[in-house]
Amino acid sequence: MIHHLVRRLGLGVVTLLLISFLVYGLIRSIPGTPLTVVVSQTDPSRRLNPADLERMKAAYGLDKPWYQAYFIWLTNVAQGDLGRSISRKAPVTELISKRVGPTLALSTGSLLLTWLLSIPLGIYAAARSGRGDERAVSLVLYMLYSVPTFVAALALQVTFSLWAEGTPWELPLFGMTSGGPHAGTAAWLADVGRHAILPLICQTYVSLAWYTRFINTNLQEVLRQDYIRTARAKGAGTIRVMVHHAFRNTLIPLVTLLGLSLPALLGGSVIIEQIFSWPGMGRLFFESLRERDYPTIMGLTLLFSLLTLAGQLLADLLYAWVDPRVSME
Amino acid sequence: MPLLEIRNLVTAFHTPAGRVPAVDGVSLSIERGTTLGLVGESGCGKSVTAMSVLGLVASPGRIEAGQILLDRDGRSIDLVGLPERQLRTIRGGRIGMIFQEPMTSLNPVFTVGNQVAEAVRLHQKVSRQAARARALELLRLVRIADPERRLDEYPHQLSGGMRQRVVIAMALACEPDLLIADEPTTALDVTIQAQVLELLADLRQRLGMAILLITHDLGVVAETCDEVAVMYAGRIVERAAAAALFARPLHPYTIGLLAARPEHRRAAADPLAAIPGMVPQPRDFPAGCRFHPRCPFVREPRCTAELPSLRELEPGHLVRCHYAGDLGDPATVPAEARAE
Amino acid sequence: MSEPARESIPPPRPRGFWAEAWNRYRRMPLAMAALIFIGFLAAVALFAPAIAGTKPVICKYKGRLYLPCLAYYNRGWEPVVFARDKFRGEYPANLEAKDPESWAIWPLVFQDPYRAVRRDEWPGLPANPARDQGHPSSRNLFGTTQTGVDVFAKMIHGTTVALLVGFVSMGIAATIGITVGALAGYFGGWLDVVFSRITEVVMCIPPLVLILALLAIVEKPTIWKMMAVLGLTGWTGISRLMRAEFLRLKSAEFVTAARSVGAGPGRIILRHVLPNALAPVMVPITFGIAAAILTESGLSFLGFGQPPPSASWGSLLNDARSNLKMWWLVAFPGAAIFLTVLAFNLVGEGLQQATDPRLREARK
Repeated sequence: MIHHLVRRLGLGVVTLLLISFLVYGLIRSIPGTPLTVVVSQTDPSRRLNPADLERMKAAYGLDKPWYQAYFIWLTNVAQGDLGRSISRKAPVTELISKRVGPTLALSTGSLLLTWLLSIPLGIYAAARSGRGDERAVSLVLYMLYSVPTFVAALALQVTFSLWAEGTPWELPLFGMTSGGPHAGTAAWLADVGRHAILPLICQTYVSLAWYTRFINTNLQEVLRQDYIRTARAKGAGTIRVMVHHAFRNTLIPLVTLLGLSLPALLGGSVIIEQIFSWPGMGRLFFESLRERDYPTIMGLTLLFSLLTLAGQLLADLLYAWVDPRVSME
Repeated sequence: MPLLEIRNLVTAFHTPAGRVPAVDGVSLSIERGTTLGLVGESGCGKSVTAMSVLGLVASPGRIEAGQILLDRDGRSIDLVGLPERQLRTIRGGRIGMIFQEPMTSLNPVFTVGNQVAEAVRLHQKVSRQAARARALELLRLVRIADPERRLDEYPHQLSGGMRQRVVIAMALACEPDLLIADEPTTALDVTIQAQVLELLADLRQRLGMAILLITHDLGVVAETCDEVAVMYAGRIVERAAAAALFARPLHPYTIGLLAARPEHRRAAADPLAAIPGMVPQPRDFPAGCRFHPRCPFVREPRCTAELPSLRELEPGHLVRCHYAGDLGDPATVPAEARAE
Repeated sequence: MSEPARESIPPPRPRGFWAEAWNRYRRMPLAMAALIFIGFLAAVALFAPAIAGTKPVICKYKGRLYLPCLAYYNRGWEPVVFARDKFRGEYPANLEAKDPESWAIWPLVFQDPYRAVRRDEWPGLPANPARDQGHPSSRNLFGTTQTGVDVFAKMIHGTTVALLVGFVSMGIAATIGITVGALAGYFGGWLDVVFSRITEVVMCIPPLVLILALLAIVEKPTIWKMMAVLGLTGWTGISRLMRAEFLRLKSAEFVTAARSVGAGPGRIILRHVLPNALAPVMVPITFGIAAAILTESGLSFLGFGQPPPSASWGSLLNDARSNLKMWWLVAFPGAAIFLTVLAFNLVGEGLQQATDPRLREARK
């Protein structure tokens, strides 16, 4: 068990190094530097004079070849320092910690909704497999699954801007708060809640459709197993067979998915956060790519890759935990 | 009154390709405390008959006709059409069932003790501790070594023979009147087979229950059964006391089965040493006697045109063959089969 | 060559495997409908310049026949004579003025996917409305964009972009994935270690970083560069599946048999293992086409696609963001993306059911 974990962690570190090295090389090859891109975009008249540019380049290590700069970055990371954002003039860790909250609010809400809805829906679909109502539900979910998030998000925005403005159904289309002072925490929470409704729908419907289908197919597979017949022969009723015997077995692949959804939990959705101007991690990532803000891009990439690897490890551990047949030996 | 009486059971599957009658007018009866062997090749409808008794025929299958009468404290109840709630009290309560595949018949994510205890708690209002104690007792009853330890183990930690004992323990949890054993030893090693059969025979004596033993192995039947019913293509073709059947098989199919037993297959040239062909699929059942395409005694035109009825040729010995007892004397009849 | 011996090795899949799969596929109404819809899309994509455009499909000018509509496929294919004669893309009036003898066959809809049609460019046709005035109308079926470009024409030409991106990028991805997976699975050893590690690294880099970084490096992202980038980033799943299939199949009896009669690794991989491993990867490839179309329109939507003028469906959606009241900029391209993705998903699902023996048995 310990041996296995150590091996996995070692491999993970190697993979992380490779990824960060590659990504560093990639983004440094992108034309334009944070200094030229940001400044020229904001105000062409305020373009830096060459001497200033050189000074700033040196300050951010942009005057060195990228592999040298990578090792400098790596040494700093090893000491727990992710560097300072070039375009935002703030430590990367501070930027990230500001953005984690909004992303987590959306993603945990979405994950919770997905699980709360998809598990009963999936069980229901498996129990009614082949009947008219199940087919209708499955078809709708299947179609939902094929609706791209950005299309759904835009469609919602258009719908609400065309028909809901001025009605009680009006919802804010952008941002996380309406700005301005709030009368206490409750008012602030209510405001954020109203802003979160549309992004939450967009972030939930695809995973809801996907999870429901996943649970349904897995459950149907399980229901064909011999031990289900045994349970029925013992005298267990339909609900007990479904929930106790079958679902417990479906849980095995399901918790694996839970592990794999870890990166999305903190990484957020670039598209949804961008469309709804939600100040989360995805948006930060998108903006930093645009601004060629190397330290922030690298910090985020490192975090995302770390989460991906951690998610895989977590999935394995959870798997071993729910399936008695698997041991980590 | 027999413990279980099946009358003209018809169970059919409704597939896109049409109606498939897997069980087509089967009648059987089992007395309390006796063992009935239901014999036939795979695909003849034995298992569907058993599942029909428990009301566990999976859709698209359905019981279409017939009665399944169970004697419950002197009252006879018909299991066909019984509401699901009441059927559940029968399943695992009055009738226990064990299956062919011990490797897959147990739920992999629950401990053995948990699963046996569940069988108890599904039918009796007892505490968790009491159910667990009863589970331990049951594991002892089916002679599992070191039952205290096994109780908390998962199925994958047990051998095939041990798992089958667990399945038996589960089936016996409520001391049923009838145990249906569907090919209980087929998937097991020969030595384990003997042990499990011995266990079943012993349990029958101790608990006074009846056993419906479904098998394709006539050797198993000879050792354990009081009565035998031979099934072919959805129908009973011969029914008799075990001793009578082995002494004087009447149906050509039974004769063939007996001759096909390994210990009798010395002369390779025997025409019936292995019955040629396979059990037909229910949707291609032939007209007339369903066995006629494989029967060495077939006589045109009656066998190919007219369905033989199940007639009592000798007292207690029923056979579904036009010419049973008078099969003619083709040299094809294996001498050994007749000598039995 | 030991030809007879080779012939005696029975192929593990009967010759009619694909015929049988097709037979099963045909009986699935939804999957069939999806396939027909994709055929329809392909036809639209192929004949886009003849459906909507401002350049004649075929015309006779100064005694010679020309196909100016080909310019929509590739700007370099526009006959030089029209540039020399200073047509500036306006054919109807110029043809008439510079050669009264000329004639032309026009596209079904006289609208351009890249610019607004001006007043009287086509005799009697008013200029396209711009900004939020461009509601769908009989002249502009799906409305017009902020700058007055016809949405219908854009969508017709966008079909070409979408399908090209889907097929070409998945073609690249499948080639890389199958090659890497097959070599890693068949030869194993250090090759497998190296390839598997590369696959894992590519899988772990956030896809958006990879795609956006690559796109940024190539600077002006044309759709062709976009396809290359999507292909270079989308092969990992196929490679993993292929590797697993090869691991499973390389110890199969028919491969041992082939080896025993002296077949080399190249021959075994190509003739014996690959055809058997192909069925399972067809499914992710089909889903991958849908994903590629989705990614391309998403990138164009975010403004990372081909710079304007671009006919991508996603760029229309991007237009909609500046004015949410222009619902037609969301409804029509959104529906097109949704239906196309749905169609490919349904085909993939159908393929899975038609080729997966496990599912097949379960259905019996």
